[in-house]
Amino acid sequence: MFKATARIIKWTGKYKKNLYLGFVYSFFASIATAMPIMVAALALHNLILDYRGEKPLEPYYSLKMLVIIVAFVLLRFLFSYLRAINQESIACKVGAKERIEVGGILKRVPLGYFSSNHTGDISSTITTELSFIELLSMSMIDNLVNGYINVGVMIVMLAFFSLPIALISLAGVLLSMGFLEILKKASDKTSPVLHKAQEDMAGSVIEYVRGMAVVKAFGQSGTAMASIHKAFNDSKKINIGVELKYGPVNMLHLLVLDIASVGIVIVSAIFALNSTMPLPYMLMMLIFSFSIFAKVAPINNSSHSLGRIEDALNNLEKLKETDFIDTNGKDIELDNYDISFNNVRFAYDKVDVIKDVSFDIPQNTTTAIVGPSGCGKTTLCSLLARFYDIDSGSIIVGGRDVREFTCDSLMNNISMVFQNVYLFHDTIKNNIAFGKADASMDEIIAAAKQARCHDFIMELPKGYDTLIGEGGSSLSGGEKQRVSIARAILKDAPIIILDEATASIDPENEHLIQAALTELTAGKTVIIIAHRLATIQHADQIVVLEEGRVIQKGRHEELSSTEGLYGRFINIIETAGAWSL
Amino acid sequence: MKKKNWIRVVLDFAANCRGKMIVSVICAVISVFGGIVPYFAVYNIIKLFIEGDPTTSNIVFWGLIALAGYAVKQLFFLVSTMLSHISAYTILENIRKRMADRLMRAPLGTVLNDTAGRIKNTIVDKVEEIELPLAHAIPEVFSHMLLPIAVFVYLCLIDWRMALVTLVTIPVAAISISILMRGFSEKYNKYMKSSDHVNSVIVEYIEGIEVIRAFNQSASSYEKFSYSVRSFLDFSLEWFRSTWPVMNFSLAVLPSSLLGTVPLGIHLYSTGSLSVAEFAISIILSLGIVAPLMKLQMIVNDIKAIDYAVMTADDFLNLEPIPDTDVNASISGCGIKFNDVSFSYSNNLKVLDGMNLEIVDGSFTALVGPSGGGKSTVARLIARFWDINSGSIEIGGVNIKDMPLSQLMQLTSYVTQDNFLFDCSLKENIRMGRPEASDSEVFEAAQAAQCDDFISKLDLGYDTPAGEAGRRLSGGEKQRIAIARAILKNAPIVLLDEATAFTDPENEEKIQKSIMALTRGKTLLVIAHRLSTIRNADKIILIDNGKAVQSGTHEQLIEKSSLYSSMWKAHVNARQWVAGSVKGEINV
Repeated sequence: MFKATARIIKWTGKYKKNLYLGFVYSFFASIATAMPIMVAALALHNLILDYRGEKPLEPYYSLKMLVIIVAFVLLRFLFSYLRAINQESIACKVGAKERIEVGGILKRVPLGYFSSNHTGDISSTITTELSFIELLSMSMIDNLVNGYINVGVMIVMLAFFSLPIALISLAGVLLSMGFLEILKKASDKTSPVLHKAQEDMAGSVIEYVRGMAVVKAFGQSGTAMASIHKAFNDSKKINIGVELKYGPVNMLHLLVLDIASVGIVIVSAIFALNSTMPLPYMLMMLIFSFSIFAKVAPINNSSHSLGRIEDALNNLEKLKETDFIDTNGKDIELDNYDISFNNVRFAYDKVDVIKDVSFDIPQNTTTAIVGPSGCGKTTLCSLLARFYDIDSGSIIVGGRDVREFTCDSLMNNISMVFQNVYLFHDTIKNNIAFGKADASMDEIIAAAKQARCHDFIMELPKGYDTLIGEGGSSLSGGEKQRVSIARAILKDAPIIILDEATASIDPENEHLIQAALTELTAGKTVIIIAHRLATIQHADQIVVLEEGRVIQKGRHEELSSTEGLYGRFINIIETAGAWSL
Repeated sequence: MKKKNWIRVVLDFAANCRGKMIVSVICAVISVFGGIVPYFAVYNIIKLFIEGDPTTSNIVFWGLIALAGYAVKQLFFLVSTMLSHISAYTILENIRKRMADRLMRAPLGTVLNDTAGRIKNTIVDKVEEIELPLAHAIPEVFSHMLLPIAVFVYLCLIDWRMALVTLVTIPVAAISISILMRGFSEKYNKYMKSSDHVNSVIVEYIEGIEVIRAFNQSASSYEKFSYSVRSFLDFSLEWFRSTWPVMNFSLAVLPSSLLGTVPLGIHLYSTGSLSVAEFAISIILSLGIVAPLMKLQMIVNDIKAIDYAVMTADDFLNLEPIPDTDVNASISGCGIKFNDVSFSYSNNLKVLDGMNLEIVDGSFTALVGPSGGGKSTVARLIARFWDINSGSIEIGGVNIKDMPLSQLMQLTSYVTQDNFLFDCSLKENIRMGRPEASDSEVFEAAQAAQCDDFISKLDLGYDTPAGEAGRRLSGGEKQRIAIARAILKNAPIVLLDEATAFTDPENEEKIQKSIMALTRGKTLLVIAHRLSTIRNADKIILIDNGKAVQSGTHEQLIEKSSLYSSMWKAHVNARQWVAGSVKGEINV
């Protein structure tokens, strides 16, 4: 529990000062809270003295009491307000800083990180979990730290009046702490179980939704519904099981504090009876017995949340500890763009994907990479952009190993057009300007015209300011493709990596896309994952890959006259055509 | 749809746990009253001292009474919480089940319109948010309201003025809370929206990370990212700042019931209308109602949270099911006919506009046309993913609305572009096509769909879990599995939305073979994205702007349709395109 607290305190970084200051204010606020009770006890004592005729009440006593209590209420307000302004904004500020920081980190880790760490986990860490930390960490930590500071001070104060009473209180607090520790241990153990239950349910729901078309098409709705109902039921059972486990321990924590309260009442009454304790002390003890543990009791709620916060912080930490791919990189300016792959090997998930690949791409030439699917074409291109690091060999751009660059300075030289176009939920203008952050509107329009986008954009109701749906959903496939090409044209990098779309959205679109690509690739060093005969035929060099190896290399004329995969390949492309049924 | 009160919604789902909820509330009430006992006991001890007859046994007696009170309080609280958690989880389960059922019965299109991630977020995460506040609210709303009332009545019996003054802080706090609450809902919703927005931007950033890197943007330079993070921070800070003074004021005042009871008690004592013992009990009881009052205030927040979560869940709970019938219709043949069909996804934009077309039983028909013209929609409407706005669609002479969905599904195999594999073995994935099929029938279908080669290369062959295999399978291979599924189903009508992403020529050839196996002797409708594949169709229908413009064979259309012939030309052009055209011209 305290470990988790220390963890959160560390997380607040430069705001630690404010956090501590908040604790101080919170301490004063709890004193201001306790004082009216003392005042009430004192008043009761004076009333008893007056009633017994030992000492009459002062004049205006009730008014005096009113003023004093009002003063304490105002002090309580003041201190809790001061605590709030010092503490409560910390988590939001740190949270905002973390979001930006993690965003920066994700850009510099090997791309494989995203598949091996499940994109879902990464995003849930910096969305849901970070929000949870933001929302709860400060109040939880306040509950816990101030709860114990508060009760500690009370116990020390009680010790001046009566040592046995102080000891009884201390025993109560320590015992309850023990139960809370048990609770925390239990929660550490069950939280992965709960987490998994939640994940399982989420997985079932996603499968249910994504498979719904198939399920319906094959008349399996009943089965699918039965299985999703079971998933919901399982989640319920696991959750209830956990609650049933927590409940009794939780009750023991509260009951121990209550028993200590009763102990205080009985012992101080008996002391008063034996005259070892003056009457006003006893009255104070009796009234205090109701509020001394008031701030310790609710700590049980915190202990559970603290566990979750600690988990979330651990996940965040893990994210931030990821090794950067370009830790030792330098900013390098290039004067030529010759590319060479020298004995490159690369394994992904322990499977060798690229096995000893070597070839050169002279500046301003076009190289087509062909081969069956899964032969490593896309991986090869990703290696050039250094989305991953190779295991051995080297990739040289303009005379420098790609590992010498920072990611940023390497990517300054490369434009990529992907087969799966990803557009952001933003205006078309911003999606194009993505290629060059400081582009002027004229530059954007020029790029859009070159990429054959301008006409359809102008037909949209808001033109360049039209918002594109998430993942680009409101444009047709061909239009999205052209926007992504406009982006690359705007970037105007000397090296182009092009994953040629096999998707022929519709013939007219296709023609426009090809025209856009022609604009993009003119005069550049191009490496293209090719599917079209024409592309391949006109390349300066064709590299044929099979199972991660270069098995043929040369121009179309050379390759088509020799036996091998390439010939077979070309044959299929030429004959693939009409379906006859 | 009118917004229902959250209580009504929640109670709707509490049918099978109503008993538990009632017991939970009763236990909570008992617990609260058990909690009063110690106050009463301590009052009696004080009275012993005032009235001058305290003995050890008296003191211990009242001490034990107090202890018993505490024990009752905690035990019943435990039972009450357990029951309320069980009830809350049961309600969650019921809400989720209803959502899942509604989704299944709604037009499929409604579901496909949303992303799986968002639906999951609502069913799993948003609904989960209801649990904690609900589990607290069930027992505590009643018990914590009851207690201050009971204390008030009890105090009235002693002295009505003391009773009133105990509650003096409530109006003060209530006024400040009502100031706080002014515009609270709106701001709370805005806060949640702002938070959702930040999170969705982050998710987008992660999903688009390849593009982010390729174009060298970073979290700080990517304006949208940093802007949304910053504006969320600004919004939260501003909101918090505006609530701190009033919030802390009311939190300081509300529990300070001594503010009234101490001065007034002293005053009444000195005027002779209140005894010392009565003063003592008033003080102690006014301390006793602090906790429930504070809890009540927290419950207000809980209710807000439930309300928000129920509101987001409500859309799913109220999905209209697609109308269905029970009696199988008798159809003659498997010809398909569209009569004046109009359809729009949302209300404004007509995707189909008076579409008429006919697909002859047993023929090969292809739909072609510019993208956005409504081709894919035709297939979806035949499969009844959506219902049309006007006109009718007939199969074998019967309106598809007049046959049960199950019959329609038996008649058609729809191979979509999205080849979803379920998280079970590849064998079971194919068997989905016809659950009662034997293993050898499954293997046969796989062979016909050209899947056998790559499946038998996998370590576990047909028993490989699809999830694991999924990462190794190419798009083309996945599609062949989907086709095997359809072959196994062997429905008389095949709707094929030609995948646009054929991965490579070798794959393409295999897919063609598998499609031929699937469609032999069937009524086949192909949504074509490349013209060469459908050159041999019996009939090609040209779709443009939501209408069937022209139809005929390939040769006929080349002759009579300028749109078709220009498309064909563009298609041929595209196949000849030259990349990196340092060498210039485009070959035709």
